[in-house]
Amino acid sequence: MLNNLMSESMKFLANLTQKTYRQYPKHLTALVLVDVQKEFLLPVESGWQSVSDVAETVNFKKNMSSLIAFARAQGYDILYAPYTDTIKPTFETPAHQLMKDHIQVRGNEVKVAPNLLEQSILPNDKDTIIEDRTGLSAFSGSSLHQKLQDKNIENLIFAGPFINIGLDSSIRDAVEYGYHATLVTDCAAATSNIEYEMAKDTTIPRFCQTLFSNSLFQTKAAK
Amino acid sequence: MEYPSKNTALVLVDPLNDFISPLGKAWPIARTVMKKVNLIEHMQAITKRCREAGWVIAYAPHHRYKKGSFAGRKYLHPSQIVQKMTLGFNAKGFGGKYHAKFLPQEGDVISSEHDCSSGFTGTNLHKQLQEKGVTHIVLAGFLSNTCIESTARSAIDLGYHVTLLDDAVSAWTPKDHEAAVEVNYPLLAHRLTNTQNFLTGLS
Repeated sequence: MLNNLMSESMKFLANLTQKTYRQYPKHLTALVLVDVQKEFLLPVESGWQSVSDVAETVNFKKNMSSLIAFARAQGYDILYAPYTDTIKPTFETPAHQLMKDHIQVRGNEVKVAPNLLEQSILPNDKDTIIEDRTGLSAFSGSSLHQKLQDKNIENLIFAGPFINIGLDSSIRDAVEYGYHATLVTDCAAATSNIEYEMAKDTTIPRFCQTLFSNSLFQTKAAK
Repeated sequence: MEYPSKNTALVLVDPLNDFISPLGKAWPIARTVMKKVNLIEHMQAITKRCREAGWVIAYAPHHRYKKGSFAGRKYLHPSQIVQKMTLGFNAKGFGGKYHAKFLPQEGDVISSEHDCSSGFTGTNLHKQLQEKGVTHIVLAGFLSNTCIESTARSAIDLGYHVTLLDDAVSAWTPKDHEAAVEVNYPLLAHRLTNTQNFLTGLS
């Protein structure tokens, strides 16, 4: 149990430093939506059905709509990084297979603008769609980092339906690249409760500097 | 499973004194899971067998702390904050050296140091493995949920075939280890196995 105590002490000390990171000025902040697309959000799609238990428990869609509306009101850049069939790994993992099974094969078409999706979750003309992603991480092989660098963005707010697949890989990369990463925990979901809880409570706090609920994030960011 | 021996690398992540030696700074926190999974013996057996099989042996060491480390970073990774506080893996001290049981040998790949978690990000590991024609990697070392999992995630996105061994990696706490090997590894690994099955398959 000594190691648990030491582990918690280290988390506490790291958190003291990270508290100073939690400021979200408009010109330095962007919302990155990983895998936020119709295959994973429309009720008729198998992708949504795979995460719907957790998503409904955390009120995922309502929170996502609220988060996007807040980001627009704050003037944050919003970037969508969908999982498309341009992601063709040499060796497929079970995670790739899971994602692939839920997307439809339509060449290079980006699938973030379906007719039936809640209007508040749709991208608008000012938003950026990352079309060149090649891996589980939104940064993998893509122009995302360069686009963020070009705008001098420092704080990334992350949300998406697969907390331990695309979100996890993307947040790890973001922190490696020097960003302050914030995960909005009730704008995330998973295919099972254990995946969601383990990611939110155990794994992601080891590398992501900030985890907030949607309401807490909006309170902090509005200051 | 059969591995292409000339194209497969064992990547040892952070086999450094601060983790492994009882005199290491992180040993008091690392020892619980390390002992539970019998990590050191497993890593030794795997390394020996992979050397005999003629595989590439690669080292992916953590950043060794020195004065001015992370000076250019505005937002530190949580592990960097802890490293700065504890002066962990000190560049000039005992803690940053390879443990005596895992010393590199001539011809091994020694990657440049990783600053955060992934053995690939910001290092020359990918370039060196590419130059040797490596397509398959097997990971062992520290920590299950941070450097090992981050290195695995990077490797997957870079196109490698990744094998993870649930008792050749270790974490700070049993829960961290469980979250990695029982929840995430089954989604990420092309092959998830244990040391005994891995060694049996190679013999």
